[in-house]
Amino acid sequence: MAETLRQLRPELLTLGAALLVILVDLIQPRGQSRRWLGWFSGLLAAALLAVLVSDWRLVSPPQELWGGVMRVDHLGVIFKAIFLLGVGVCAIGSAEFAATRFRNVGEYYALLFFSALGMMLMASAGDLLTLYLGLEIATLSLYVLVAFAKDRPRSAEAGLKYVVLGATSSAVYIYGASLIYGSAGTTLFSGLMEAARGPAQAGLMVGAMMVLAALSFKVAAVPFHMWAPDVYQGAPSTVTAFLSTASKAAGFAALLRVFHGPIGRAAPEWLVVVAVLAALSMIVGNLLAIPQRDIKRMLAYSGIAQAGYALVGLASPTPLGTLATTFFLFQYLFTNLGAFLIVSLLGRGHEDEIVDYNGLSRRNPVLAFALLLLLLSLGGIPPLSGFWGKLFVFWAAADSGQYGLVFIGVLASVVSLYYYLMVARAMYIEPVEDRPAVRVAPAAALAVLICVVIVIGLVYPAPLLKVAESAATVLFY
Amino acid sequence: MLYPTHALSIIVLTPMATAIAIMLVPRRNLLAVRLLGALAGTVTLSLSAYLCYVYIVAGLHGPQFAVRIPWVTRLGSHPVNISYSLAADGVSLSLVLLTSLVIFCGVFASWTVTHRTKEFYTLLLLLVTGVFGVFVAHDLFFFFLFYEIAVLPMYLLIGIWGTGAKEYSAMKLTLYLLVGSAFMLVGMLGMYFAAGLPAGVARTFDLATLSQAHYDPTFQKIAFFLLYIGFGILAGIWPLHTWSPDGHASAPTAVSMLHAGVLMKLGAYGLLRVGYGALPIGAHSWSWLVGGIAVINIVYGAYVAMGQKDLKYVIAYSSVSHMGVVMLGLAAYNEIAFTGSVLQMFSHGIMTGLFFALVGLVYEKAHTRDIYAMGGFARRMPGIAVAFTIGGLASFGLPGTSGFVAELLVFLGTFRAKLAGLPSFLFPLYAVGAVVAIVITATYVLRLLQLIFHGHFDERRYADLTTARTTEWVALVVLGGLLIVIGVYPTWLTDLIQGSLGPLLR
Repeated sequence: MAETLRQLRPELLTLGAALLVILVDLIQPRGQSRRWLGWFSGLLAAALLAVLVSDWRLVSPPQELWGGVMRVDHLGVIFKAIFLLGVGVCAIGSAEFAATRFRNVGEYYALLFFSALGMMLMASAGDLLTLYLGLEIATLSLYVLVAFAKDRPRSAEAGLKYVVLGATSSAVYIYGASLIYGSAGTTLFSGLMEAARGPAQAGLMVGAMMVLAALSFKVAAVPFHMWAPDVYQGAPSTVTAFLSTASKAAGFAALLRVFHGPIGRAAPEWLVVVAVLAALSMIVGNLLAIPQRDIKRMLAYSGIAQAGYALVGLASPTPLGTLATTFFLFQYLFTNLGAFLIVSLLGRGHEDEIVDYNGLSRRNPVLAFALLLLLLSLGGIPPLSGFWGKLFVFWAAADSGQYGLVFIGVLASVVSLYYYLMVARAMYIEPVEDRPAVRVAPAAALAVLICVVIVIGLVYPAPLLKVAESAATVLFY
Repeated sequence: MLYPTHALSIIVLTPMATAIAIMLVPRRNLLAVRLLGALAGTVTLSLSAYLCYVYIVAGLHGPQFAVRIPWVTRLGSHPVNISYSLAADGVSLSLVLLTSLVIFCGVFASWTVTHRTKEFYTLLLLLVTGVFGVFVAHDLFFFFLFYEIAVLPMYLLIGIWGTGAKEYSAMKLTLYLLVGSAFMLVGMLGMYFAAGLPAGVARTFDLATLSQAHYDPTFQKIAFFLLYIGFGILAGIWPLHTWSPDGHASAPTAVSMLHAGVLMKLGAYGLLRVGYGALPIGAHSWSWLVGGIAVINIVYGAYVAMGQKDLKYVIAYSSVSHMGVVMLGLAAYNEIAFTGSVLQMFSHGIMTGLFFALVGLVYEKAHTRDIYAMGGFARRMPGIAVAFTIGGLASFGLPGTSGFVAELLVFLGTFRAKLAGLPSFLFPLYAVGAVVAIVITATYVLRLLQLIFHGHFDERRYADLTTARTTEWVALVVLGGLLIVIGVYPTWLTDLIQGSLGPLLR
């Protein structure tokens, strides 16, 4: 019992953090400033992260809980760290934003933690049903968060869209899981591993494809991407920041668990499908980003393209592929989170047009430079972190013989620079219009700073690679 | 002889460190910004000059001053040897010296930039870090990294401080060069994976190891072609040169100086170092194409330059023409031609740097770049006229200027080129074509001099025309002087270059 509690410590403490945030929010009377709540949640996330890191040595070799429905291993720890970092940076970054725009600030931070809890379950799932449970906890919290600015019609509309489409994808997932259960007689990954050694089964294959489709919806890969631009645009910017990074990473954690694990081996056809999804996401995402005028829509399409790059890593079912995907998602978290946090600082309530960024380099040079660095990193410009991320996933793909994907990926990256540079153009080249200087609250500045420091710090990628390496092997037993 | 262990790192990182320092200086303090820029220029210039001196006097050869720090050693269980590895041989050193000369002069030529000065110097110095890095990188991967750092600041430098259709030019230039770098990247990764290494040697990006590696002939042909396109775009090969006149014409003075003077050499240098250094069979098999395109560059560039009205476009197209000479020297593939080719890189860098500095001055004072609207300027700006004349004479290779030595060596080498499998008349034919083009060059240069500095002077329109002032002299004196110094006494430079060509000529 004590052992189980220890192994579940990160999840239990995250749950506790969510409840604690609600509690302290209740103590303070209504109507008073709740900026401190952002700091408080950030510190909580940092403390959880410290606990998680202290567990690093204890979870090796990989351990199973309750007959294998949950797995405690290095891969899980890394992804949990990604989610907690996402919550922490996002909470600090939205301290000012949430306090000034939302009515129920406490719930906002609590939902971030709840959502992270779901993602953590997804990342350490050892059973298709645990995975489903995590998926639902994470997305239910996100549905509410997307519609959090409920007095804005667009936010409410985005929330509704996300609920309808998300529920559909959940249904597809659970149907796929039931087909897998019907063929293999189990939903446990360890049991499915046994089934994979047996003869090929049609039910397993169809079920695997449905699971793949549902999780592709989660990471917004083409052709399951339709919701992303609308939801990203409609949701409050800080929620979009979280949704486009941590939630995407959670989807990939699940994809890695399932497809670099048992089901990938039971239904080898998935590889072709993922390769097609990756290629489509890179092409469609990058091309559709070009004509966008709204920066959140543009970043949504760019995020679809980024999911494509990560799928390239997924399309290499080797430890190297897992390693590359994990590294990519880690750096993507900070790059995209930083970019969306900056968007949240500049939004004027309703619209976030790229023309609003005209002359930003003179209205706030530091912020403009930060955004420039983050966008260049998204574009894969060396020596920033995005470059290494892409390099490693392409490397993994080349190593497993997917040269076509590498070729498409490199070309798509060149195309993507066009629209990232259009933002740079607005910030640096376009004349200043009559707009006030941008003032940034210290909390938001700190959050953006963290992102930029990590994007620059990963210029030397060796330490993170070393950490991710031990995580990459746990799926290949 | 004594030199700092990390001399090359200092050269590469000084501009970047200065750029960061400049970011921290208050926006209004223009003098501090400029002085910091000048300081970076002085440090890199004196250090690179000293390293050249050490290299020559100590009679060194091959790559020297090496530093090596492992960067990524493995990816999972895969060994990946990427290391921060710098080293310089004679060819690298001469180009490092060129870069530091041009940036030194460029800093002073931009003394009059008052619009967003701080950002200008930051980006300019960032770009220079990339350029230095490419010239001394001894690891293919870092070579690529530095290359990208050198290309991107250009977008903002032209977009913000440029003139005319600056946004169009900036985007065109950036996209062309990035497409080029995609070709390069594919070629380089191919070289990494396809290298046939002796038993026991792990895969690596180390240039020296890759140059010794065995490559399959078919692979060499494909990879060399990819590299030729990738580097060729930057070197301005026809018909992929169209970004360069637009870019150079739109860019502000110091950026044009650096871009035409140094950045285009990155392309030629890269092809020499990576393409010729590691893929000799591929280089052999494509030399007919490289040489043929080079001759088209020389003739076409000169011919188009003759028809331009805008002073900057004249110089920009003359660069396209002169880069043809560099590429022709590479195609001829022998020691004399290579020496001439590298010398031409140096000489053209100095010359075109001087030209763009002068064009900037003329434009700033006369407020026009239309050569037909000018005339008789020698009266009011004698110093500028003299420097322009020196540059012009070097441009068509008058004996006594550096252009003569460089072009003579290239043409000699081309006449003598013997490449197996090609008809023996081909390269002499190329040489004839290139030599004839000198007449066209002479025509447009002399016509330019005549139109701008001689003839009727419009007293009313150009009433307040003045000659160069204080800091503006730096570029004129340093660069103009060097053109003559090298023309009269080229041996120090040819020796520096020649001693390091051995490994590149296999």
